[in-house]
Amino acid sequence: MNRNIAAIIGATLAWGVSATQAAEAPDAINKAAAKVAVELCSSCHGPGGNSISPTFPKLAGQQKLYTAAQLRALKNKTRGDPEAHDYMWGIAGTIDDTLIEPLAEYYASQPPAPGKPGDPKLVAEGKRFYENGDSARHIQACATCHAADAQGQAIFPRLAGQHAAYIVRQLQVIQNNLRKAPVMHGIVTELKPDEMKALAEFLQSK
Amino acid sequence: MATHRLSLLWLMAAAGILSITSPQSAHAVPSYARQTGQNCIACHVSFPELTPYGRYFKLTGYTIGKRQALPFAAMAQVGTTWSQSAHDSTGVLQIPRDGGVVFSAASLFLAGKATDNIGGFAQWTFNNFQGGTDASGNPTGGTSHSQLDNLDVRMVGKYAAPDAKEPGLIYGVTLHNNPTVQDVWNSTPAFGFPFTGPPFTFQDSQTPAALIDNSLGQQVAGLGGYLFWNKTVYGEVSFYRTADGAFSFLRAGQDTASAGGVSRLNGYNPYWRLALNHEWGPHSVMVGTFGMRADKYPSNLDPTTPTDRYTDTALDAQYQYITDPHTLTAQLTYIHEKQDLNASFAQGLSTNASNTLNTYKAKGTYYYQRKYGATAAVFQTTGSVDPTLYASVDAAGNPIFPEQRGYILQLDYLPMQNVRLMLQYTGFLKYNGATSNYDGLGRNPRDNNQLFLNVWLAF
Repeated sequence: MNRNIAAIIGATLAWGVSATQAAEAPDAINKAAAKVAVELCSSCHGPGGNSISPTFPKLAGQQKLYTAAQLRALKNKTRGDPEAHDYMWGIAGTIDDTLIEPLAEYYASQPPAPGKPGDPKLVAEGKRFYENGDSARHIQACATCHAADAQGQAIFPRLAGQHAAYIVRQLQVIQNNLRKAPVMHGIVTELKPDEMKALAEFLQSK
Repeated sequence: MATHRLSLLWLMAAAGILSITSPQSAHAVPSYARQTGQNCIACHVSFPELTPYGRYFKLTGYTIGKRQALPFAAMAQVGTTWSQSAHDSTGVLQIPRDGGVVFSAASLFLAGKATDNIGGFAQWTFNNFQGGTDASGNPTGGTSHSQLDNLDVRMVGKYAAPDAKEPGLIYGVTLHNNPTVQDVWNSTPAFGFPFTGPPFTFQDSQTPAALIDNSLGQQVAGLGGYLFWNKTVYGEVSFYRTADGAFSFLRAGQDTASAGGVSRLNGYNPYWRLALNHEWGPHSVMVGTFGMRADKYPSNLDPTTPTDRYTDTALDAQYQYITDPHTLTAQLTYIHEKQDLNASFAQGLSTNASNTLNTYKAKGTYYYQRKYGATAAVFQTTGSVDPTLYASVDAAGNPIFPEQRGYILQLDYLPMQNVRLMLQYTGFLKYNGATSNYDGLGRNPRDNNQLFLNVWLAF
């Protein structure tokens, strides 16, 4: 838990620094970033980051700090899950460092599409797990970091409205240590497939 | 049988060597993958079938990514074929090297972006066994040949309204050398199924194909323009002319001097394409039409005569469901050809003044983890009987009937995204107009069935 708090504090401080940098970013850079988002990123991540295919995550409304961190990890090839390798390493490598923050800002400012209703039973089950975790197995509530409404905070990603298939896949690759996510590894170790599915169904409905 | 076992061992050994020697990273795949840094599966369900993103990549002129200093790629195929009956009814060998390992073809690609708005590909193919006969006139397949294969170069643009969040319009012009090679859906002939097949098939009755159905490949120059609006409506108009003069490079390596060589068209012949596309969740669907009207000289060596007019009209559809780990795709194609053969008829080169030819194709594919695939396809050709136009090479001298029906079953295994091991079975239910004894000498359609084991490598 202490590690989580430290991460939140660190992320918040980093967010403050990056917000200052963004304020100083020239308008031309923001326009260049928007051009990249419109002409390149939208081909997979959809208009304004509301992707259509569940292979590609929705980026609309995503936490700026998280998006920027992921872009850097993809560009530096330190995010190692198969999809990161197959789809994003090369494309992220074409994005200039100066555009990473403005791109993250662009997506943070995009209105997310409404959630997709799911199976009520699964949604209820997922909601309960999201809000409470499972103390008997020492699984923390997801809401602790990802916020009560799943909007995310700082370095912790927004999950609300995300494709269910994408969420399940990320939980799997983190559980299998294919994607580094230090805060998450301990939490998802004992997560079962049906719990992942319920969580994903709930989050997609948000 | 011992030979067959040996062939199988050879192929397995070849596949093993290829698996070991091919690098595992994205750098192992062809030049587009090196350009984008993405793996094959970003653009292909399995090569060459395109995903929605692959279609976007092609429509935007192959320009996504970083321009490569050496934008080269290569492809090779090694396989073996087992035919139900390699000899015709008179005992003459028709299919050489049956049961033997055949290095059938290799291609070199120059492919990639030139500028942010210009890109393309040119394929040069070496066919290791393209013909040849021994002293007795039996086919040996021992003649190799190389030529320019498919080529598509395009210049593109994108338009996005000031506050738009994705381009509302993609537009471009394309120069290419095979009708439909520029298309992005795999229900059109150039990149339609089967993507490859046995290097030698039974040739006693060559079922005619429509002009637009790969009959003009590497013989014409195509120049066209297209629009893709809101990822919903695709429209294209192209014109095809004989690839001579300044365009002769587009048919480099083709036989232009012999009768029956490359086709010769009169003037600029129009081609159209309209497709409606919709994507939702992991699904995408397209319904469309394409076709062309071409004025063709009866003899490719005599451009002074009147011409025949071929009007090809096609309907096609495609569905794709792409997730991890399940992928399902399906294509449908119907081509109707109307042949106005006034020129040939006047010269005694056709029995009828007009003919029709219909082609039907349907195919469904399932992939698990983009690694293990199974495909089932059916095909059928129907049309007018014209014993003069469709000259017979049948052992018994029978006229060719443009009547054929069959199926293809295929299993694929891709140990890596750029290596495909495939087992393909082609079965005929009807051949040369008959479901049995089609040559009058006892040969049945199923005698033309073939099993094809192939290793296909792109690097």
